[in-house]
Amino acid sequence: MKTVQMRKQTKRPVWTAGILLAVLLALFFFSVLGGILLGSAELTAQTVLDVIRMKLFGVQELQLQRSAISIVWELRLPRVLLALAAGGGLAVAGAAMQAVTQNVMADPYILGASSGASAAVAFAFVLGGVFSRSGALMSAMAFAGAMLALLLVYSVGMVGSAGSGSRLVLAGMAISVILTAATQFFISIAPDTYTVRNITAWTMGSLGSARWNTIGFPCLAALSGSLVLMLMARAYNLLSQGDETAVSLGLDVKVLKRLTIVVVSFITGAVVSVGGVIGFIGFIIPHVVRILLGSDHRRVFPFSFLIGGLFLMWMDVLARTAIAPKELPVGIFTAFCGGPFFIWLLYRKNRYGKM
Amino acid sequence: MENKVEIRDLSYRVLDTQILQDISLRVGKNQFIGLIGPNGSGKTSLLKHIYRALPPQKRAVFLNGREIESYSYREAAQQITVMRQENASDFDYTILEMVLMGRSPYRKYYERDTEEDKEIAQNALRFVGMEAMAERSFSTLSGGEKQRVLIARSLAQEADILLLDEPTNHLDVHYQWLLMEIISGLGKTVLSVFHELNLACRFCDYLYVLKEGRILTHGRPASIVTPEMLSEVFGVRAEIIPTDKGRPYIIYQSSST
Repeated sequence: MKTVQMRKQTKRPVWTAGILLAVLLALFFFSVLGGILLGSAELTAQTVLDVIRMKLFGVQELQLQRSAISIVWELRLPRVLLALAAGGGLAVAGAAMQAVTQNVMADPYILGASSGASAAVAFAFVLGGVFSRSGALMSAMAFAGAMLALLLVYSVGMVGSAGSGSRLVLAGMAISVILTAATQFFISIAPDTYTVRNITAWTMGSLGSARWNTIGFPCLAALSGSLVLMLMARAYNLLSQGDETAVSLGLDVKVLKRLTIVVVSFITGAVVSVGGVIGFIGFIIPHVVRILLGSDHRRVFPFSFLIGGLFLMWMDVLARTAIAPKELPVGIFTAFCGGPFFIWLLYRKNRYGKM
Repeated sequence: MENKVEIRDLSYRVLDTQILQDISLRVGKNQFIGLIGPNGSGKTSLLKHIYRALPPQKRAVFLNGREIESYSYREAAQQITVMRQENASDFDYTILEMVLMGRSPYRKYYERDTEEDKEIAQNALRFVGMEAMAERSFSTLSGGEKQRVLIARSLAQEADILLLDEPTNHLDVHYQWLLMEIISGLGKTVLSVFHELNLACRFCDYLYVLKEGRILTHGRPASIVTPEMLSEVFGVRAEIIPTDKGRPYIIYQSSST
């Protein structure tokens, strides 16, 4: 009787992670193909494979149309790659924020980093000139905006009893409201309708602007930022236990918190500067991973990256096929998933006292 | 005797409130030392200064004769381990994962747990009688089991100095005694905060009594635990019975105020 009971409560055997990894890698491969295949312009799987073969290995297929080549290679592939990197980066950033704040409700969107970055981008648009044309400059502005917002939220939310979770979330909401108002202010003083449309599209999140020459920096930022966090994964386990416990286990809490704010701002800023505000990925994905594999950040980070990337990529496919040929902002879809998820978690927390 | 922990003239204030005032104390090697005092007397703040959960005052806390500020957090965690009451966390780990965190001071953050770490963790779990549950999730445990896991984590940390901040406070009598026996049986250097005075009298070699942030008196339990002290510091009327082991036993009678 006792052994049966114990086996039931035994969780997460090691092979779960192995099987999940294999499934995810297979999914990753097929998703890249699927993500290229699906869209408003009809393509066949054969065409997609032919174009990729041609570009990668120089195999010439005469029957390929120029338009097909351009859709596959110039539009959809960069877009798919950006979705994978951005989704992965946001998910890992969310997981890190949750550990640092010891609050599973935290994520770059909820804690205002995304609104900070988008307000900065809107400001860049209004400034016009070199600011709205240079991708690097815009990314730098987005990074600064995200970091400023996070620091503000952190200093407001951490006053008083250290690490009070709901206080931090409330501070995030308050700062977000202010920054969203700032973005709207920039929209209303924008000099022309072109700028207005640009900023508006931005605030709803879209990967439509992904081209080879725009995705380099955000992809690199998301990948390298995630890698830094993964290398520190053990430290996030300690920090998730609370500041004081983490200190007693030998962690320099201040240093890790600073590092996290910089890296999360870097990832969020880079993603926002090319894809706009894409919310809730950093919130949903780490939860799903923890339910599947437990809380050890040495697993949570890499699996969040894989699942986050896949999630955003398929959300983006949905965004461009739902009412094709018109395209919807992908931020709408992530919010549609994220909002109910948030409510479900609150309900669960009420009911079981844990998430 | 060699001093493992020494505090010299430590004062600490937050805004207008003096939390600690001119605290000096010494914990010798392998001594079991208790801190007692009413709520808000500064016991926990004092411990937090030793493991630097509070910003340390310069040249006030010494570890093995060296200022605590000259230690990195990692080095300090190899010397000191802290047992506190378990606090609820939204993050759920398995028991083994919890105990393996105790090995962190010895590993770089990108390093995996070694076989040696796992063996140390398993041994620590065996010591507290929890080795059969290593893969269970921490959040499903009872309060006493959780506390035993945290003790195993402290053991896995292999530190010579144990700081205890009432880790037994919410446990039933059996576990209170069991945990104190386990800790006392380790023969390590212990500085512990107690609320339950009879537990303190039974296990401590030496007591420091705190009131309003000052050390009021200190000495062996038999010499300082008196009806007068209990009345003055804790506001209770009590009788003291000496036990056959020469340790005082307190029988509370009423609140004397």
